[in-house]
Amino acid sequence: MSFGGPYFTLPKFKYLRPDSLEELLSSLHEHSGNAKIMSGGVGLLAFMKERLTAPEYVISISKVPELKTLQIKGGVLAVGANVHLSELESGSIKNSLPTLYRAVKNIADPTIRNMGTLVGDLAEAVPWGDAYPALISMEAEAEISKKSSSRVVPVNGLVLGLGQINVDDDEIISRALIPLRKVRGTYLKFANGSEYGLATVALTYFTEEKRFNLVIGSASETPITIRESDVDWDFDKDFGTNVEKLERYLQLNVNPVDDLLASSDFRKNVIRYLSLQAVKEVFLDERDQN
Amino acid sequence: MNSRTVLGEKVPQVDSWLKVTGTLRYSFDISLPGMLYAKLVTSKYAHAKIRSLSFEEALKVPGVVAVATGKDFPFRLGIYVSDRDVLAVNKVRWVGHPVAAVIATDMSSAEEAAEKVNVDYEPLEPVLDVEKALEKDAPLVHEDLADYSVFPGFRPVPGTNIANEFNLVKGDVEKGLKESSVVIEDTFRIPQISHAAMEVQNSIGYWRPDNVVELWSSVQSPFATRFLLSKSLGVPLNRVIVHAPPIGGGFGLKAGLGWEALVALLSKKAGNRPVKLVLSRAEQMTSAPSRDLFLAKVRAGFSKEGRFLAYKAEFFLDAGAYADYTVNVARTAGYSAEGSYEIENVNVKSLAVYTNKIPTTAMRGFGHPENHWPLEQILDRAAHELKMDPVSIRAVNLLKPGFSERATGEKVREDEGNPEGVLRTAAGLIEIDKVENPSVPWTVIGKGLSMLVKAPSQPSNAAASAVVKLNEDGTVDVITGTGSMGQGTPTGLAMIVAEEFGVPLESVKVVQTEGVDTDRSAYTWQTVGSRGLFSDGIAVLRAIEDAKGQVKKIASAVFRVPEDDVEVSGGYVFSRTHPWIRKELREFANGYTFSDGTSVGGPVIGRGSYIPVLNTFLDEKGHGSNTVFHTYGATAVEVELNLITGEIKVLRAVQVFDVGKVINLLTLIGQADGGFIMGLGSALFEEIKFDDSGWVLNPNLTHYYVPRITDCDFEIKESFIETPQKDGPLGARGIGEHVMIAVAPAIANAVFNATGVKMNELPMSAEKVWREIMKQKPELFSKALKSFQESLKEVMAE
Repeated sequence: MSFGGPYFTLPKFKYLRPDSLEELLSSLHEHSGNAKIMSGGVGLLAFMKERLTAPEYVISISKVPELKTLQIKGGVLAVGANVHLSELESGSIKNSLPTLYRAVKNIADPTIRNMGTLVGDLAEAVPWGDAYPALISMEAEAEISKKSSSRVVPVNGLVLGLGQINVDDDEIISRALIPLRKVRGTYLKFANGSEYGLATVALTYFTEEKRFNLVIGSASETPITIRESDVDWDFDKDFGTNVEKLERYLQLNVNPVDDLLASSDFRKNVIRYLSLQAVKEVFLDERDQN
Repeated sequence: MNSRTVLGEKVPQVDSWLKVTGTLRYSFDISLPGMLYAKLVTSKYAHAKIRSLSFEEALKVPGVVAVATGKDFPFRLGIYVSDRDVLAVNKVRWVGHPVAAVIATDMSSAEEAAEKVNVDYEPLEPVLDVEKALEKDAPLVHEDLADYSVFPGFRPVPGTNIANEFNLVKGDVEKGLKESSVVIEDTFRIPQISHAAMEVQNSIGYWRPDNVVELWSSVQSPFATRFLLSKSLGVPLNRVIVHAPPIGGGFGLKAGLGWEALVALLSKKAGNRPVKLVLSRAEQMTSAPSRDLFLAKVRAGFSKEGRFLAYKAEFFLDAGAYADYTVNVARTAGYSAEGSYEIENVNVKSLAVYTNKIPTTAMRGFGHPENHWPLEQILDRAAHELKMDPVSIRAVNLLKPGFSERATGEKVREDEGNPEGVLRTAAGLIEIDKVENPSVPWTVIGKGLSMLVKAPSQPSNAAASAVVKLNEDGTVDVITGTGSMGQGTPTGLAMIVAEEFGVPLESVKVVQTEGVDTDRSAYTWQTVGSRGLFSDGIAVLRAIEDAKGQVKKIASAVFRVPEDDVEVSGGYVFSRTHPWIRKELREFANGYTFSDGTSVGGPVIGRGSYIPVLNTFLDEKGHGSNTVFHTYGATAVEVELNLITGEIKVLRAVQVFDVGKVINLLTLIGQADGGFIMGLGSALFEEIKFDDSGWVLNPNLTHYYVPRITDCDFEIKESFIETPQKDGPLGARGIGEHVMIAVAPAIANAVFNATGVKMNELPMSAEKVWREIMKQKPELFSKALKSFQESLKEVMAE
């Protein structure tokens, strides 16, 4: 990522590389406010090069074993902060968490996915990030740890705006916790002449509960979540009528930003297209399987 | 030794191994003892007077050696018009204009200190639009235009913002328009784009204590750099040494003179210590040159049979703050405006215009991606009006080798190529008449093609030279002036040498593959204009002839036969009449030694040179003869256009060129594919965006998007026609730039043919195409959306 700063070097910093979570959290506590956490450095180094941040300490989590784990426990997939995106590109993720799989596939390119992490993409807190809307649609939670305690909060609401995140200086998002329920899902990104989507749509449909979250990213400072109840979607009713309701809702309630990548009205047009495509993919899959 | 021919084969680049193993040394990798680092301080205003400049605080930063300003270096730079300063003097001309440079022992300190240089500006009214720049009371970007030195044939207009005016006149264009059955009139636009070479510009200057100026720099054309530096700084040519290691992409950005004058002068200022400047990507995209913005207002008339009767065009090239090279881009866009066609009446005015935007320079295609953008769309639009097809209207108007005359008055040579063959091959390969069905009803599939032709745009005396040395083990060293920037010229030259001597390719070393050095390499004017293989190739062939002559002379004494009976081929030297009298070529490399120890001859060193023949300057009407070869080509595409989102997706592409003679098939395919992808970038994505104050909004490769491999999920079919150029090296012509020229018009034509929507502006981003659909054919959008919505209902109804 680059915004166009003129610098060639990084600002000066001290580099720490703790060997355990405990050590990491102590360091974070000790240098609270003066430290940044780094895994692959995909986001952080770019921000530092741009002088958007100049931490005194950069704490690498690359040697922290607890953060490297990708495990299933109690119906939840826990993705450690140091799990690289490429590790999520597996067949089992594709089958069980299609929204996540597709979102990951849409992040940057394979070489960057070997370095970058899902939690890092979330923690970057940029409106055009792919992880955040996907995690919201899957109703994921974040485990946030600090020296003395840890807390679990819904991912939705964690990002407050560009570069602003609801995580304290002495805390780290240690894991993303994604519920493993019966879902269908997709992630669609419209990127034309940009690294980033000018609009994205994450759709996760919980088949047993018959409800869904359709999350629109890259079109406003924080993602827009639309639930079946918002659009009065009735699964027992005619699909065409439901789609019309969704379209009407989008028309009335979604007002995307105007920026360098695209104007608001074009984004709105693209959002309708992506949303309808997503709905089609997810529900067409259902029909095929029945 | 063997005589296996390599010509026409697929041969990997001779420096492939060095490149893929990261071993090849670029100028960026070079570090000299005691080397210092420079950092630019750049303007925050598009146009402003420099009231004062203070750098006391910067000097206090530990590691800082000196700070230089424009007043330290009162020199003017430029290849065709010397309109550039080394650092801004008295006023700044664009946002990003370097006003000072900090020199420090390390890059970090230099960057820190650069922020502490204070410049007090008095803002002036900027001119940011090419048309406004031509208005009578427009602010002047260069008040002193009259004082600049100008290369013969260029015509700046002092007191205006016109950096060069070029006119091409043939016949009576108004009469031609009057007699036309169909007149197409429109305005076309291409934004400023970046070369986006992977390697940013970087230079080391070393003003040695003995007053020899030594440079290591990412330059395409070290001899031109040496010449321009010598001329600007008043240092004799043989006291300037330019080392030009291989470069990571040039595309015209690194032609001429870059940052070499600045680093040389900074080195002098820093007490004769070497100084290195490396641009960041953002500096590359704001303080260094880009390609011109192009605006064309055209009227084109056709007879009812489709004959191109008249072409009246005004080209405005927004050259930005400096037009040193762009004056020639504008001239070239003008004299080649007719493309591959014979037009009865032509009136083209082409202006290079100063504005307060980033400066511009040469870029791959040099005026041709610009002038083909309107021209090749006009033909499809006229064909549509006349109910003709795109192939027929072109075939009717194509230049006819051996018969036609260009608007410049230059005859079209019989051996110039086969434009009709190129056209028909491209049309055939893309199956232009075959209608394809889209996968979903809200998209359409369109096919389009565009012809192209280009000649090197170079001075009439753009010379080249070469030296060929035989080694005593049978290997051959070749010395030229063209280096390696990924274009493949060194490999092509090595293949020619291997072929001519009949030695294995591995036995030939083109020394300049690993870098050109003006002290030790053979002269060539520049590595630009697709001229490398042609010009250096001829010089190399002449050097081979010379070396063979020397071998024949020695062999004549050894064999005791006349010189003209001696033949050198297949790695052997033998008597033509008594072929059993033969010896290996290597035995003659350093002269021949008889079995008794006596020797004849001496080391064989062949020399060859080349200079264009019968080339002239162009006069006030654009008449003259200024080309050495023309390469014809055609690009054809099949695209899928989403009528709801405006997104264009290339499904298939065809690249056809008449190359005269295939030297290295692998290089050709690489050029054809790479050029298509580069053309695709400027067609669909690339645009340097400015705000109202002249700031670049996307000086980075995140928001200035060049195609990634993920954008290239389609097949490219390459086809090469061989109509030998009689005076070309083994019949070959250049190809380096041609491969990207026709991509954008071919895509625009595909969109037009599928929808009737005219795309006048680049890039054809999804949003722009969507807007044009909504403006020109809103019913297409509504219909597409409806079918998309219907498809959702069907899903559930099934």
